[in-house]
Amino acid sequence: MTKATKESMPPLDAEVRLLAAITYGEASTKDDVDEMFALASVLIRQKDARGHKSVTSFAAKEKTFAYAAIDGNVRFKKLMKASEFEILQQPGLKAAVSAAVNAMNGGEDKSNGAYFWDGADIKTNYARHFKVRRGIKFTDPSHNIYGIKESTKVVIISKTTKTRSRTTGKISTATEEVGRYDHQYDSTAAYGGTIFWKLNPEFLKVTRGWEYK
Amino acid sequence: MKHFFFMIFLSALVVEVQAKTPSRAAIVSCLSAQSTSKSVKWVPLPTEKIYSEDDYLEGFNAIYYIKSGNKPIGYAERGHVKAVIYGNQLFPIAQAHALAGFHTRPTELDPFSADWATVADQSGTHVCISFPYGDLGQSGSFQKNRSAYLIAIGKINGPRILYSATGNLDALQMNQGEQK
Repeated sequence: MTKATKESMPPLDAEVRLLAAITYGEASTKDDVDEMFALASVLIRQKDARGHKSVTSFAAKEKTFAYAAIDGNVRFKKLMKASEFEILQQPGLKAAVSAAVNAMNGGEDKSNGAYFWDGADIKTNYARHFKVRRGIKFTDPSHNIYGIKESTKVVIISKTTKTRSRTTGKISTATEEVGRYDHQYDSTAAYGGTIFWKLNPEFLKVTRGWEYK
Repeated sequence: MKHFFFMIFLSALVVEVQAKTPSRAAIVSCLSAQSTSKSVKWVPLPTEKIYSEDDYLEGFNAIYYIKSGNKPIGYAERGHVKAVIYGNQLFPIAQAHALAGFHTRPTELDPFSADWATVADQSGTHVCISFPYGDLGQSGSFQKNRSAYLIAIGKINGPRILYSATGNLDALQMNQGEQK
């Protein structure tokens, strides 16, 4: 068996490296393999939902990503700069690359169909967290890795319709309820330091929303 | 002497225009959807009841509006043209004035993922619509990037202006701390 050396390592595909770096940058420092697999799958799902053919194209056109890159994510940069040999030697980097390969090949989706994720900020900034304000629900107690409360608030959606009278020509308005929901996000999985989410089907139905945004 | 009084008159005009532009502290609070400075009061608007209405005004369909007092505040579309609703007026988003220091154009506004509020300080009171920036703006560290639209409320002199801003919350709050 040939031992891997700096010289014998094949170059890592640029697409794989980019996805692995974003995944590694967003994952917790626990270097949890399942967490990285799930993150990579969510990123690929978001890419596909927006019709991008490649991770490079998604990253180039995704404005938030460009913003974050400017701001500087140490872990993202670490993987982007790592040699193939260093990736092989460091379990966290290696897991991120495996996660990227799995997601790009349509492998197992450990996020269970998630489109969004959150790290520890959802606990440390709970009261002001954007998702908490819009309502979160855990579909399985095991997803609540930070021991936070669910947040629900009933929102009623109504539609006003104008009708012109054929006889008098006067316009009258009528408002009727279209539906209601009490939270926007349902948990789908949790690993390491990350909770994964998708939009509540009831919320999507009432608002006629898209599941990826 | 005439020239002197004319200069004072011009200065007064400038002061009045600047007073209608939200302050940096108000903008940062708006983007953050919370009061980030003691001088700013951020207050959420009631969003428990949301309305929609086809052919709401000028051919626009009101996709989302709430009622604050008697005034509707919300978001409307007419084809590809998108607008903010305030009272009986529509403010096209494409014509929003980018605030100095926050020039990056906001990405698409989804009213259901926005925080609807008012921000008030010495620069006046503004409706503040703060929302995620970019396609990944609802996830992880990308949530630190936010956009906002602001519009003055109450009595003002001259036309009402829709302002826009985008920023990274960590960077903005760090800068705010340094400026104190």
